[in-house]
Amino acid sequence: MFFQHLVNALSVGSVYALLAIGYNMVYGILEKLNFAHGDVYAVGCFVTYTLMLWQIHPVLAILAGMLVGFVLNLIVERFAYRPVRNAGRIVPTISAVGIAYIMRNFIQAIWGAETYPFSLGFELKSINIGGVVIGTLQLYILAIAIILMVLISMALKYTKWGQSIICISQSIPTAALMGIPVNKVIAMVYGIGAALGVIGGILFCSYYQFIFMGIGFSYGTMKAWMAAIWGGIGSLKGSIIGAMVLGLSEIFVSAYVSSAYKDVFVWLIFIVFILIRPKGMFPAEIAEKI
Amino acid sequence: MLLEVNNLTVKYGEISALKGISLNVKEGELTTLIGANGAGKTTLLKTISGLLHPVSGNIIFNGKDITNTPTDAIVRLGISQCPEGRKVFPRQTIYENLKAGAFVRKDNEVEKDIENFFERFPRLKERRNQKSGSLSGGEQQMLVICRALMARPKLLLLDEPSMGLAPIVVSEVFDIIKELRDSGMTILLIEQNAKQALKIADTGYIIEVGNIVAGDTAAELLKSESVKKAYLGG
Repeated sequence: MFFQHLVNALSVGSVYALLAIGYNMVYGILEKLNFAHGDVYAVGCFVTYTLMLWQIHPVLAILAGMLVGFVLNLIVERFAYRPVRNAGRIVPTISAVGIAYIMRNFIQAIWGAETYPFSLGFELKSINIGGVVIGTLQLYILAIAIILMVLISMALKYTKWGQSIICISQSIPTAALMGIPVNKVIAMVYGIGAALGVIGGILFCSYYQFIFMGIGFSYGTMKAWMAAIWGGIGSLKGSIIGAMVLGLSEIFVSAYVSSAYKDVFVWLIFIVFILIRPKGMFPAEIAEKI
Repeated sequence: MLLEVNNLTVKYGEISALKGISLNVKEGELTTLIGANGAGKTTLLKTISGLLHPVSGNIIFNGKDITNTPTDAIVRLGISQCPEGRKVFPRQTIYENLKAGAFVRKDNEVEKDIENFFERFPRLKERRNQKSGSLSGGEQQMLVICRALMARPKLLLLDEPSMGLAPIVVSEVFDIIKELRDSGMTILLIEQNAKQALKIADTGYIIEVGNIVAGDTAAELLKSESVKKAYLGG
């Protein structure tokens, strides 16, 4: 059973990792809590859901959902975050909470507050390796997560635009002095973060086979935030490992402790962890700032 | 004139940091602006680079009014700045810092330029794949000067390059600035280290609490009694 739980934990962890990467990129750059992350991408997930109900191919529906998430976050960044970027930490956080409510109520107004069954419609098989059952969906999730994570870290390390994101995360004015169009790049990071969130959200919905208006906040923003804190703020590696730790704790707590009180125990572990190591496992190494 | 600053007034809230100052930078010259802490030197450079916006006055670069142009566009027009306190990107390697400096370039000689800088500064070459946060203050200063030059600017702004460096490193930094000037680079150098700055400069300005109080050839300023008294230690 242990290996079965491990496989399940890896799948859940991969989903959280996709949610956390986009979240942590924004967090790392602006050091601001983006409480609207989940609710913005949830809109994209609902668009995908509706398109699939209209018999549009899931891949196209997901791409359309990602596009919606991307554009939506560009708009949100422009009008809710950029004007308050230099207003300290509290103002943008509150602005984000406001956006979260607007998005959630927008979903409720269009799609209602019901929980709907969700499936990507692929024929789901499973393979049995020595008693451990691995669903094809789990394999897809793992593969998609790994491919995206590799692509993102390569893009950050080896492309001009990726490097410009790293520059901005260290100092916005100095990055501007390099000729980097800071506002454009920050907007793109928000947009890409939301698009990744849509993929993560869709995988989450397919894994648990439901979708409802609350997926963004409780299963998105909060999980991404926990993973980011657990792994280390602003670190890509940190968010992936933090997400895996979160997945492992959830699965093993529900398997061996209590599935009803899963969240209580996971939060307890989380709180004890941050008391001991408040900067997470892999804080982005910030060499002395002179 | 490559750069003309006319009646520039910059405020932080209600406080005027620059009270209508004017100065010129001639092409191919090293112009220095000296003054005490808080006189408004950094404010001027930040305003030229578009990081701050003036309430009145204008800045003409190469015949074009750049007063309210965004910073990245100003860099593309040919003004690079080494900001106060060096500001390397500490989490990136030396090589990556230099690449960042070339962000605005579209030609294919970036690698060649990096190799040229490495040849001139072997200490940077040895550490090319190390995080720049691990460099000494002097090495960081060399790196940010090279990084600013990677954009192939027409005008280089240097904000207190000698700040916080050991005396022997300070003279090394001034030697490099002189070398750049001799190679034809137009430079606006801001310094508290008045003597060394005036020695290598063509033209000098003196700023006191937001006003330019003197402007002349550097040689004349070095001879002036009042300048000697206030800035050159008698």
